[in-house]
Amino acid sequence: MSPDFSPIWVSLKTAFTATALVLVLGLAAAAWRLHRRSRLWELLDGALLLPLVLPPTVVGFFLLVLFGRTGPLGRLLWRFGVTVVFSWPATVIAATVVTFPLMYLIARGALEQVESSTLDAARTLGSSEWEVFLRVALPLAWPGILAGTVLAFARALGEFGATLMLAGNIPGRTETIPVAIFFAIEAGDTRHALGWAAVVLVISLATLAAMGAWTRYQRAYLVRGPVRAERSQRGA
Amino acid sequence: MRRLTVWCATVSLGLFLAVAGPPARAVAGPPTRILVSAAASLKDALTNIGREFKRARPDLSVELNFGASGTLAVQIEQGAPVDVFVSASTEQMDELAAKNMLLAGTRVNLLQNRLVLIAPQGTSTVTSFGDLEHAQVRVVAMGDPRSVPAGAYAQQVLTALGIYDAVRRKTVLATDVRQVLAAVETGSADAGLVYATDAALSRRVRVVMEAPAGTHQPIVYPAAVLSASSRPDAARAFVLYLGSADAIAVFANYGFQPATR
Repeated sequence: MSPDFSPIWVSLKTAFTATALVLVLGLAAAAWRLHRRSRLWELLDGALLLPLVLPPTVVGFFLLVLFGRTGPLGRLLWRFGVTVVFSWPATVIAATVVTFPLMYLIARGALEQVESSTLDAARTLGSSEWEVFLRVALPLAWPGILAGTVLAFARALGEFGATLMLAGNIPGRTETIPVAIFFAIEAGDTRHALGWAAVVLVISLATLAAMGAWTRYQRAYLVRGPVRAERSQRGA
Repeated sequence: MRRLTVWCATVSLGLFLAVAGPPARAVAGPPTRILVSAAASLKDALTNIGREFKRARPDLSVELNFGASGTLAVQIEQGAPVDVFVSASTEQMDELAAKNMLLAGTRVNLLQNRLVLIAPQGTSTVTSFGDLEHAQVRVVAMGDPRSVPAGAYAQQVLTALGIYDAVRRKTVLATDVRQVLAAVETGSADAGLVYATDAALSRRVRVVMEAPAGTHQPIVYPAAVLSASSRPDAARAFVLYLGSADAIAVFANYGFQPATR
């Protein structure tokens, strides 16, 4: 049987897509959270952070209940001819849900670190809230957010429990590397299991190397950052 | 200082609770415990038989471990302390025999089964094996042929019918045959391949048709005692019981046929 490298492509496609989604959603949630401090948000926080503390299989179970044939979202999507369970988008949904709390916390932390006096200065100079966020807060918080993105990618790549429950193992479509490893071990196929583990090791080492390089760059950026922010305000 | 004392006390309590167990029962010696690894498809029947056996032999305690036969064989090969192995295929038993892991003279063919194509109750898209190729059938559930005998038999059937390559692209592989049943029950899969005995257990699936004769190897369930068993006599007694009239009757209730001797 010719070697099947599809799990690598499935994993990478899923991880990149999930990371992109989580970046946008996490940033949006963090920005809103810091903008509006209300009781509602404090309650919502608990719900948003839940997938971080729940075992992935439980998250997978909840997603299955939600998106299954008899679930609320499942039935709604069924009317449009869309089935989520056992499909590639399911791998993305599972990875996104599990990774979102991580990105949300890190983005929030990074944005909170930005000195409010800098933001207020921008406001007094006439910037709208959008501009304050996009042109002042975000560039200053970027190092932390990027670190969060790398972590999110690693988490999305390694996601297993929720993925297996919602997306199943469809070789070539939803079989990610962790799923491939699990099934290989079940079948006593240690050769393939080791092979996949080696692939994940290489990707993880590359990610760590990238993070290391980024940290060194970040130290320089932290000095340049505030200066750049002031400059753009003076010009506006 | 006070916090340190509280912390030490908590840790000590925790360790104590972990080490001390529930109070020992005042019984005349604990029952001999045997671990039986059996194919997932035998779950209901064997649980029943296990209870009957306990009544017949209260001095023995049977622990049942269910899963895909391939996975169970891997566990045994890796040193799991299993006393009796009941597989859904001769392949796994042969593997263990080749590695001299079976106790001589204890291997016996117990049961036979049939493979069926099932679909969720209330659907009508699938009416035959040929329908599996249609685009309307989005997902077909089957066991992973590498570790689940039901999956291996399913692969044999689909290959014999010439539709394996077409259907392969939409198969979702499960780690045991009961997962396949669950996938079809919930409607997540449009069709699935399970044993006739599994299909009979659920009202949420309908049997579309049985695998045509000759499309797969005969489904035989062998049982044996493992040579590494530390309680071979108890294990032998259990295997003998599995072949007894009482046990065969229970198996028959669930749809298993006795193996042709």
